[in-house]
Amino acid sequence: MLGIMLQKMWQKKWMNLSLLLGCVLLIATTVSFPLYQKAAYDRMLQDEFTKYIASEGRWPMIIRMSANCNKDKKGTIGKVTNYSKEIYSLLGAGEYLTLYYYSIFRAPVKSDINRDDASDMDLSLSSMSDLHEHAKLINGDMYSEDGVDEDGNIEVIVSQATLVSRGLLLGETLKFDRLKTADGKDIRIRIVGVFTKDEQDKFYFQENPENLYESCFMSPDLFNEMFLGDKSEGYNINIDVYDLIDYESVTASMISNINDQTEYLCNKSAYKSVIKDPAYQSILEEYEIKKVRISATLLILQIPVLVLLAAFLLMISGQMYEMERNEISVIKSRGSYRGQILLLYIYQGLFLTILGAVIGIPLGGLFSRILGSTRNFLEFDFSSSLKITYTTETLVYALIAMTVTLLSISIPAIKHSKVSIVHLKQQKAIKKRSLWEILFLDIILIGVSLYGFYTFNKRMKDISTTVLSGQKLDPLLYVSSSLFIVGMGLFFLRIQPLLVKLIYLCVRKICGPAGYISFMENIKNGRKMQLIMLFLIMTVSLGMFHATVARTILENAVENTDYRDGADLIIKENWPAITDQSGVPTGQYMEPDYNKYASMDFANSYTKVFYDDRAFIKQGKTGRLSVTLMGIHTREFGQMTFIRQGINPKQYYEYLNELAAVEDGVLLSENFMSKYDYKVGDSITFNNSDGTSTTGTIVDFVSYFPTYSPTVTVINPDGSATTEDNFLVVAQYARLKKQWGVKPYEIWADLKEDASPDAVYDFIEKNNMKIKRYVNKSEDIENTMTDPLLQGTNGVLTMGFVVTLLLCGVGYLIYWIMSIRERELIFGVLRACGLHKNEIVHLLVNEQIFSGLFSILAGIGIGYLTSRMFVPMLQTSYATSEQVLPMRLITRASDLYRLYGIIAAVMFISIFVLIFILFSMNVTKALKLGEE
Amino acid sequence: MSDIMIKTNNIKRSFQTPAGPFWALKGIDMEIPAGTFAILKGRSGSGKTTLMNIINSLDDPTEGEVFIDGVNLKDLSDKERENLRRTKMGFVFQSVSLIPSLNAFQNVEFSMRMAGMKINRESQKRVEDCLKLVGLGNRMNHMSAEMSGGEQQRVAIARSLAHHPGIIFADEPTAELDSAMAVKVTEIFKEMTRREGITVLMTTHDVGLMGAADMLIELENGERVNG
Repeated sequence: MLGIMLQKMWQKKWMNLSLLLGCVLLIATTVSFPLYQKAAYDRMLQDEFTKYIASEGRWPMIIRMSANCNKDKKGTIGKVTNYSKEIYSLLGAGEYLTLYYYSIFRAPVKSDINRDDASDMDLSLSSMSDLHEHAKLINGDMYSEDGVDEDGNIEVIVSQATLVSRGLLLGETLKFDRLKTADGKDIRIRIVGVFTKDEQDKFYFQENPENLYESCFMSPDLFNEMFLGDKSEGYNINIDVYDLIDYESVTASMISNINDQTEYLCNKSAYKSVIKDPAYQSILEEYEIKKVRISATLLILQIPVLVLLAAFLLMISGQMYEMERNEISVIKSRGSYRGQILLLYIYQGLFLTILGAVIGIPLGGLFSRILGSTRNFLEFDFSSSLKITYTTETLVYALIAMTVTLLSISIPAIKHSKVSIVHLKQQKAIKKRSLWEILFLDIILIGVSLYGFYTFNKRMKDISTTVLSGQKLDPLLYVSSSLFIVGMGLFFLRIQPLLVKLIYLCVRKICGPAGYISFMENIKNGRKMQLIMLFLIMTVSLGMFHATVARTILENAVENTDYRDGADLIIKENWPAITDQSGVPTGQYMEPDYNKYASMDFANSYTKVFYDDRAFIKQGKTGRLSVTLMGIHTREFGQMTFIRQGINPKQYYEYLNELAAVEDGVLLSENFMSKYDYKVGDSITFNNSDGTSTTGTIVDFVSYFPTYSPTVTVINPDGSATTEDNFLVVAQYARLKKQWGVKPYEIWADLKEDASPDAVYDFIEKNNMKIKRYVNKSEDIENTMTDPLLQGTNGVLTMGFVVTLLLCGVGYLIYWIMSIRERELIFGVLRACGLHKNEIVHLLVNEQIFSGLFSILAGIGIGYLTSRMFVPMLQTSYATSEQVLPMRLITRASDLYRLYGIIAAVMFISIFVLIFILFSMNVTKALKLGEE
Repeated sequence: MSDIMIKTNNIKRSFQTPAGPFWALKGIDMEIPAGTFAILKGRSGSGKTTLMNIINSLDDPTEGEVFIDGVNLKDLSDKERENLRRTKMGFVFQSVSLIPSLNAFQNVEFSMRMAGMKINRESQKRVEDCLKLVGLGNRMNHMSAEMSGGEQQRVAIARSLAHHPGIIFADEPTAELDSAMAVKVTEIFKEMTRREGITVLMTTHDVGLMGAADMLIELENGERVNG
């Protein structure tokens, strides 16, 4: 049986090769999905951690156990200390560092030196594990290994803050008044060193030593020996154990366990009272929300591709059986069991599927790497590669894919194994309409998709709030575009023969014999081509649609970031508040040196902007309306900011000019007019966050202004989303300064093209600036573009397109090779009768035009229509709470040219191959062939 | 029109085989007058089809010359040969050779299109006549898949005839037909030579059909054995 199978497969090697290709692609695509997803989740998780570090400057995953043990009779200290090590294995994560910080409650000390300035003071004896490795000594030495000096004094080191605030001296010895050792001796300490925090060592100190005014740190070993264990009962000891979990060892698959265990630790474990709520829970929550959204979106985007792949396999295997029909029916008529034939094909399917898996699974890894490196539709950047790991989940997906391939290859066999030669002849004589034509499937599909289009269009706003609150969307939203494409494609197939007939009627008179045959062939036998034509239409239109989706989503996200950031660079320094003698703030601030900004050689220009997002307007006696107040130098501001045309009623610069023209003029956000009936020319009084007020004259209303979002969507605790208005007041900077004096301002800068973030960091560091707010547009845009959802979307769309194109190219070629092989005899006859080779080429080109070119054109039309209609809807599902600007549809000619280019290349290759086959065909041989 | 429609001078044809050149034709001379129903007979592998394909210009002889209606095929370009085949020749093949997407009428008409003839009422009449001649006047609108092998072959004959060719080449046209139908087909050929003055060169190995021929040319191992 195996021999027969291999022999049979060898005979149809091209067919089997394409089937294999289909299997490989289906398996690879299916497998790439979980692979990519896992890698993307891992990266996203790590991104969340690094983001946390960047914003908080702290280790992102810490579990802190804190207890105050007064006369620790129960041995809590020992238990907690031991338990801290178990937490790592409980969470299944690695250990970065475990920090034990013990301190005995502060107690009065007396210095041995009689100094005038010496006063009574309390100090606390502490130990911190591994302190000797992390403290940066600025004076003196570290405590020695045994921790005591030759006089029996405990050696301690103190922070600079302790030294200064307590007026201690290096080398000073002190005696604790009431604190005694377990055996009743005095406790004496000697300050041997002064340390500070090493700025490079970011994560060791959980509490800045500069804030530890009372702690004297002794050797941890000695501390344990003297005060812990059974001796601990004598003291009032505070313990803090910090488990710094190696966050880099945490992968996406561990999250649910970590969440469960954290929940357990905090609420159920024996140690729940000592465990402080870990901050990482919010990081993981954030991650989970993103994850749900990504997985749903990516899956839905992939489904059409997978369906297409399965359809491809069905088509090719169907075609193969078509070719083998004679053979099968002859075998059948000679008494072979149906089961035997079926078995033969199932073996063949198994063989192909297994071979497909062997190639497809590793290829899936490559696919997911490509997915992860897509920057844009059909654009790759391999520098930021994903780490791909195979898991059992991958295997499950692979098995599902293999089942689908096996079924797709075998199903046609079931149908064909029933046919005996008698049936076959009968079937050949009957011309059937396709089932979909009879059922009017095209009209039904178009109807359903249009229904989806209208209902979702009406509820566009609801959709975005649904998305924002993390709820699942109606799948019809995603599917209706695909349904529309299929429906329109089928509808085109319905009218295509009529089109050909129409053309024939027009050119009938001038049409040569070859043209005549091609027309007749299409009109009579066009139905055979329907499947491949549908493939072609779907490839082109899906390609166009996906290119538009990808481009639109990405560009809108980038544009939105651009708008929200406002300028290339925004720096707000920390201004120390000026207080009067009694320490009450005067409302005045110390202005940091402004001249240093002139040395920003990476900037084209910069300007001061007053930005106060806690300003307000008094309403009635007690009411306050929160507003965002901006004070700008109109000219400079206008030079470095930009608002796209069409979203404000007037040109952006006109507003700035209006503002510049009136000294106390203010621009208000449009909602002032719609909600509170303000009018141009009215005067308005507003307060800054310090409460000082001033008055301005309204010059105009704007809908959009750099950084301003008209509404903010708030997700309520119950999961619902509400939209609230944001109000904006823009005044002239000079006017505000005149009224209020110099207030903390921001520096907005327009950067040179090649300005790197490093140059900005260097500038900040060199000038020793303390930064309150920092915005760098290029970094934010980079982050936007590498957002896993966007990147994944681009990846899936690109890969889907490439796979479809490949299938389509192969399918198209197979169809035509078969169609030529099938007609070899006829071509031989025509050639013998005197038809020139070129005329046969002409005939084939004609047929290609009717099937290929027509389908491509239809695909372009359908793709265009689908993009127009459905992209805005799909886009909504990508809405983020940060989306401010109204979305707009973006197509780039270059994307479409690339698409057309690839399609044209595939078409040319297939025509080339066909002509090659045709020219290598020998007429006399072809005629012979027919006689066999 | 010269009286001799087909004339060959010492036609030889060799094929390259691993064992050296194989001579399929070893010098064939013949003259067939116009309006003759000539049968080329011989066993399988005797060189009938090779000779036929050389005469109808699909193949070139290794040596020797072919004259069709006084024209030496050697002097013709590929294009001129194609033209010759389209206008002066008609073909009937052993197996079904109808264009499947055309019905019987269109198939017959197609040879007229090939020959560059006007498609009009006159041509329509000619097609109908040809189909009636082969006895299929009532099946003109049937597709080839809806006809039996014998019917299809008769349509093919009508097609080979429609554009008024000088010669019809029929390579084993009866091989796939039952004997009654074979006889009928042969009779049609004979009638065509009578009615239209067409020369017919038919190959066959069916001895029962030889009687209808005006002229018999027998081949054996690449050589002419009679006359």
